[in-house]
Formats: sequence, C-alpha cells, structure tokens
Amino acid sequence: MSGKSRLHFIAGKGGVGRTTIAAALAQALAQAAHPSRPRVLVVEMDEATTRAVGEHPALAATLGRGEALPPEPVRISAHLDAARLCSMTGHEAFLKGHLPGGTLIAAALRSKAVRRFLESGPSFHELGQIAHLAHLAHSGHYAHIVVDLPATGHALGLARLPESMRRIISAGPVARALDQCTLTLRDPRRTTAWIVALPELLPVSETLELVEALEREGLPPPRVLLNRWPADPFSDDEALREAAAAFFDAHGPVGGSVAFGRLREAIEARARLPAARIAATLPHLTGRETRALVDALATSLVGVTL
Amino acid sequence: MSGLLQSVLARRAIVCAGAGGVGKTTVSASLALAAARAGRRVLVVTVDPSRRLAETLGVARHAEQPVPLSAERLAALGVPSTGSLSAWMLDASVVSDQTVRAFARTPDEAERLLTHPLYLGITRLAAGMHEYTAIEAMHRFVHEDRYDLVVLDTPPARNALRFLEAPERARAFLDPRILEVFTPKEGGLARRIAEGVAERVLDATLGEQTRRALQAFLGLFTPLLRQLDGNQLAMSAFLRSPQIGFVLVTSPQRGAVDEADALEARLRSVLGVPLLGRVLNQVMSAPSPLPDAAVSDSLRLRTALTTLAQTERDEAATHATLAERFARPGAHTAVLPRLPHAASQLEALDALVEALARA
Repeated sequence: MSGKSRLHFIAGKGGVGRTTIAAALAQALAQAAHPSRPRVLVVEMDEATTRAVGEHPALAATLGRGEALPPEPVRISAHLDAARLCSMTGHEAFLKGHLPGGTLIAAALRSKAVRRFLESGPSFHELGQIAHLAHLAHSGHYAHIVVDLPATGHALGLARLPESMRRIISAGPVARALDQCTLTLRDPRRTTAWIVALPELLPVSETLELVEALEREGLPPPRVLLNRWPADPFSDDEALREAAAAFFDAHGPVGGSVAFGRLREAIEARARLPAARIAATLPHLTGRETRALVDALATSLVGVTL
Repeated sequence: MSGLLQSVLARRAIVCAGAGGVGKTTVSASLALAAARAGRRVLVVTVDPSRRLAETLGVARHAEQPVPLSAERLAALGVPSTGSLSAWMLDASVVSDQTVRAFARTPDEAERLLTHPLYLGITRLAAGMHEYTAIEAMHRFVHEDRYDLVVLDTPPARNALRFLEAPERARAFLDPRILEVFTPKEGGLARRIAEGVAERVLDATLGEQTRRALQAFLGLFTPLLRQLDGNQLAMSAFLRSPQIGFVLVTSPQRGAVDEADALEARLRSVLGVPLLGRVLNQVMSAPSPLPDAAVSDSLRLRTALTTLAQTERDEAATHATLAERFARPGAHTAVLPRLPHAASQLEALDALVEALARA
C-alpha cells in the first residue's frame, strides 16, 4: 500500500451504523475533494463464505444500488466511486506484479490447486483483499479510499494480520509487501482509523478497549464517531437537566423518561472517552430514507474529515 | 407457556442469529434462563467477545470450560433444583487446542502439533475459526449429553449465514486435494506438473524457506485433518437436523428488520433450515402522558420534557408499525420490550423471561 491514496478504515460493532457512516464519510470527502485529483472511492469487503449464497449488498444498498458492487470501481456520483474488495482480484494483481514471466502466471491462475489454496488458505482471503486495496491505492485515481470494515473483532484481526503473517512468511515478495503494508498502516499521513460507536456505557467501554488495542498495534490514534446522539432539549444546560432528573425521580416511568435515561447515559458514556479521541457526535435521525440519512450525516462530517 | 418457549424446550440446541447490536446475547441468556427455570440442564455459549453475557450471568471470560452458576445464584434466578445453568464465553484458540487433542492419534502427536511454530499462526489466522469452533463445541456438548439444551449466541457477523457455512469452509481448506499438492509424495506426470506449478508460485511469492516449512507442517497436520473431515460432515448434518432450532433476533430499526427478513428467506431457500422463532427485541411501548401539575413551575423545563415525550411517542409509533410487519405466520414470533435504563442485569433478564413466556 505505498500508493498515494489516503486510507480511511471504518470500524465498529454491528448495528452501530458503520456502513451508513462509511458512505457519508466518503460523500463528505468527495464534496471537499481537491480539483486536480478529485475522486474518492468507498469499498466494502466481501466474505468468502457468502459467495455461494449471494452477497448481502449492505454498502451497495446504502449507495442506492440494487445489486452487489463489482470488484472494478463503478461511478456513484461526480466525485465518488464504489467497489467491493475481492480476494481473487487482489491475488491476481499481486501474482502479475511479482511472478517472473507470463507463462507461470497463466499456469498459476489456471491451476485449480493454487486457486483453491488462495481462496481458503489461512488468512489468504483477507490478504487478497488487502492486495486488492493496495492495487487500488496504487492506481493514482483516488485521493481517498474509505473502507467499510466488517465487525470489530475483525478490524483488530485485520490490523494485526500483516505482522502475524510476517512471522510465518520469512522472505520473498509477500514478506516485502506485508512490511510495506505495516508501514502504511502506521503512517498518520496515509491511514486514519475511524471507530463508530453508540453513546451507551458498554459500547463505549468496548470502544475504548479497541482504541487502546489499535494504538498498541502502532496505528495512528483512532478517531471515534459517536453515532445516534439522542435529541438534547436541554442544550447542555446542566441545571435544567437536574430539574428534569428530579422530575422523573418523583414521577417514575412517564412520557419522556426513557428518552431522558438514554440522554443521561449518552452524556455519561461520552465522559468515559478522552475528549481528544472524539472526532464528532452525530445526531440520531429517525424515520429517514437511507439516501436522506447519508446526505444529512455527510453534511455533519464535512468539517470533521480534514 | 408460549409457543416459542415450548418449541425451544423440545430441542437440544438453539442458535440465536441476527445482525450485531440487536441484543442477541441478552435474548440468548433469557432463553437459557427460561429453560433452566423449566427444570432443564442448560448451557449458553457465546462467541461475542463482549463482556455483556459475563456481566449478566456473573461468569469469567476466557474460561477453558463452561462455568456453572452457583446454587445461590441459580436460586436467586428462580431455577429449581432439577435445573442448572452454565455459561461459556468461547475462546477460539482454547477450542482449537482441545480439538487437536481430541483428534490426534497419540498424545505425542498432539503435543508436536500444538508446539509447532506454524500451528499458533495458522489456527489464529484461519478465517472462520471462531464460527467453526462454536459449532464444534455445540456439537460436542449435545453429543456428550451433558446438557438438555445448548443455546448458542452466534458471532455478530453482518451475514449470519457465514456461520452456518463454517463446516464447509473449513473443509475447503482441509480438502485432501489441496494438501496433496503441497505435501511431497510420489505421483504421475500430471500431478508432478501441478506440484511444480504450485511450488514455483509459492517459492516466487512466499520464499522457498516458508514454502518448505508450510509443506512440513501440512504433512504433520494431514492425519488430523482427515479425522476432522469426518467430524465436519457430522457437524453439517447436525446443523440441519431437527434437534436444532434457529431463532432470529432483530431490533426495531427498519434496516435491521430488512436484514432479518432477507436472512430468513435465505435460511429457508438455500440451506433448507426452517426457522423456529423470530424475536423483535428492544421495542418501546407508547409512553403514558406527562402529569400536568408537576411541570407548571418552569416553562423551559416543560418545553424540554414535552420534547422528550414526543421523541418517545414517535419512536413507539415506528416500533408498532415494524412489530405488525414482523408478526406473520411461519415461525413463533415474540416481541420483547426495551428495558428501562435503570434496570439491573437480573431485573432485565427477569423481564425478558416474563415477556418470552407471554409472547
């Protein structure tokens, strides 16, 4: 990954709105794109095991496409492309870049044994996707690439992958590519790790653990996006909030008590995170269609992306 | 007792599936507790690395074995003396080690594998290991008959089908045809050419040293993999047997319900696995109105409280619409309430078990 695209990895537990945020962030970056190299790419990762039964096109659906994204980038809007990271595309690109001579490459790609090994060997699927990402980052077409990661455990595994694989693979082109990958991941000018979290107590504690774990892996300090921040009719007026707390203590579960409890938890949860780690709090917007939701979140994110 | 609970009690294993963040872990724990209260010996297994289940049931993380709840704790949870409840937060590497010990031909062979430098790397790196080990553990516990019911909380994968395909995925890696190409042996011309291509590709990309180490390791691993292969066939059959019931859990957000619908359709059509139940979790009910007299002292406070109450009413209305769409024939349906903010874990479990019984 020694190309010139800046990489944005979007991590977070399931159900926190990660894919929506990935689409919104990409849109925000596209709106602020530099005129000379204006394009932004947003990608999702496929899961090997789902290929047999059809993709669940989460990012595709968020971007308003009815079908799964192809490995080759497709145009979404004037400055935005989208694609699906595909391990086979990555393996092929890597082999073409590193094997001597066309005959061996052709034989390797024809060989069922080689293909099956690449598809199902330990972590080879993930390595293929990383190779595909590196290939796209090298292409020179994109100023930014936003990667919608799978669930949290996976994000940490992926961050650790280059180094873990390096312990197994001692030399050769793959070893050199893995070293390059580690350098890119640790370079704050090339990589931003974003963690999407809900403003609730347990999720925020888990987010803090992920922040620390990613920093231990040597990644640049991750930036947390607190999503679905509840409506706050108190505008941070603490005295007024205390009055409301007294009211609900006196009257028990009446209208508004659940919403109030959620707001209090959000404030308490936010206080657990170091302020410098919080990149933005994004409002809880209910009842909107996906497109409108992405547009609204992109507007909130324009100032945050720089 | 509700239809859902009755059906759950008639099975040996329940798999709770669904997207992340929908309260799957809590629903799994509630189903397990409900069965334990009905006098069953129950184990609940989670592969979610979160601390939620541990905190809910008061058990340790990273345990080598399931942890039974103490008699006092069971009594506090309302479990009769005939019933029991154990919990296990599954650690993929622990189960992987256990699998090697169980399937190696001799303790010596197991030890050589477990201490091999590549073993550590490969087992922790192998994709789908978590899913595979979860099914392996569930299969083993049901087979050993230590529990009447095993409730499995699946990993928060975007596509829960990944989980059901774990045995086949592991088989793809363990396919003897792959191993034969990468392990040295005699063979005809075609085989030697295939080996030649594979070796040259691996030497050119991974380096000769790594290729040799990989070959030696796979040679060591092959007998074990052949044993596992038979085991995986058994597990695939087990996943589709009537001993298992699938419960789909979702939260009342439009996207989550759409995803659950898609998952249900694919469970039926592709895998031929019927759904036992659908659970719509965290549903808000319409709030009771504000008492007027109490808020007359401050206009700003009244405005703020009215806004909060309106937020809640809007949300409850959305949830009611989704609940209607959710309740359709084909599986038992349960709508569970969003629990009050202040509820303790015990109160929360109690409330959910109650709601499950009524559903």
